[in-house]
Amino acid sequence: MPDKKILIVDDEPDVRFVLRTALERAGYSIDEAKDGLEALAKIAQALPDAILLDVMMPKMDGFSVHQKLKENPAWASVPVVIITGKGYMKEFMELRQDLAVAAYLEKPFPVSMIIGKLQDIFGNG
Amino acid sequence: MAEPANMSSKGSASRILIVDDEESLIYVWQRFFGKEGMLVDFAGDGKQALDLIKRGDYAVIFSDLNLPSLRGEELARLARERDPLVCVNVITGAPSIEGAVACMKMGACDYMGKPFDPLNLVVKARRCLQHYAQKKEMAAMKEELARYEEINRLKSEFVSNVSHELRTPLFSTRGAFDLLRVDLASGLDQTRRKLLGVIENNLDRLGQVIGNVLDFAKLERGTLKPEFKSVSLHDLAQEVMESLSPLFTQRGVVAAPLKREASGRRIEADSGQIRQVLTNLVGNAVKFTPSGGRVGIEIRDHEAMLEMIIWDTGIGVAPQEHSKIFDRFYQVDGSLAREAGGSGIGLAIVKGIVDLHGGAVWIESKLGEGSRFHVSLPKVQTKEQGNA
Repeated sequence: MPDKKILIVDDEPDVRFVLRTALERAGYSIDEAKDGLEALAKIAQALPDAILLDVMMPKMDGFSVHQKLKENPAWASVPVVIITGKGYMKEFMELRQDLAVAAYLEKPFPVSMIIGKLQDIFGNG
Repeated sequence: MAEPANMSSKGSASRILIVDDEESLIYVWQRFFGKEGMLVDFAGDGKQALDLIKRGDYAVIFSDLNLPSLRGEELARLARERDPLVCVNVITGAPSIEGAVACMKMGACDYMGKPFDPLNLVVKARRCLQHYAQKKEMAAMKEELARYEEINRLKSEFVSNVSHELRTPLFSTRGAFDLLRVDLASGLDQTRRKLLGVIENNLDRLGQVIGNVLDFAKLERGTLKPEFKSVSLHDLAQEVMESLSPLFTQRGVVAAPLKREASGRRIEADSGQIRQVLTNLVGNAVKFTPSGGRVGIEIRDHEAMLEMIIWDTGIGVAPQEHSKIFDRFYQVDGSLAREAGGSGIGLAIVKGIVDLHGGAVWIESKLGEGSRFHVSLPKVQTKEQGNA
């Protein structure tokens, strides 16, 4: 799994730190952004291999970031995993099947699950 | 709550306003209405009438069509603007169809010609007063209902917001704990391992409570939608018994092993939701079973249904409580019940989820003789249930 770069986007420093620790242990390299605007700036600098994206964040929420990604042909193919505590994701995703989200996880999920999702995405590389 | 309903039968809203520029007639009105004990005000012209209408709440208005400063139909319109429930009767010495139509269009209830029988008017006034009181009461009830629905909506929203606020810190705590535990797995003495166990069990418990609260809010809003897939009830039951094993140990309750009879049977169900049903029922069973007792799950195969029985040798539930325990917020009284605690939504969620699956849940129990909770689920889901 090495050489894959994951961008973690979440406004909670603790959430970012826990995810970073779990993913670094699994061999990924990590970048972080604390809101949607910072995420877009980081993506413009260097395209990550996958993005973990929180929904409710200040400045720009996760779905707006997702939309910007899909609008840009250079960015559209980066897999996005939505991570949220919102609690209505299943219902929401059924309504918005057009969103083309690679996967979503509802907090609290065991950190091992995110490793599994990324393995699915990268095909056990 | 009783206040708006009472308002209609007394107070200023039962007053009658009479508008007529013929002074001699006012005495006639006064005599007949006064004798009936009705509260009557008089206005000699349109301007005076409007002033009175602005100040007081009138249930019934009798007005002459031809007033010095205002037409009767205009008065009717203005009065209805202030109180849409008011009953306006226009009276004229020269009745005509056109005049009647014009008045009705402006919101008058009735149109009458002079001369009139004063007794008829009194009867009419009484009917109008009754009618007004009924309409007022209905409006108050509608308002009350709308307010209740709004409060209920706000409550559901609040519950889901709070649950969201709880989920993020729980995620960070749980994640940090899981990562640390891997580091600490070896080289800890028994007490420290036990302390780690305490953190883990209680994080599990918090997760379950938060999950229940959120599911409850979703059930209330009607947004909990099952995702039907083929599942093995036997495997789900096994998983739930295993995941609750720390609770069994803590309470000194024995988990009866699952029989393998129906292990191959599958049904169409939402595995996460059925896991929640089993977790709530087995969790309850353990909580209400004294140390040394037993809790188990049985699965029975019927023609179109699979039935799960979650049984225990605990304190039992009195028959008069059976119909109430699935109601939201209901708590069985009694010292052991209180000691066990709980939010009073666990069984309501069980019932809600079972209903969404087109199944049934019921209890068989007597005080002191343990309980058997039956959950019967259809093997195949029809389209309607899926969209319910």
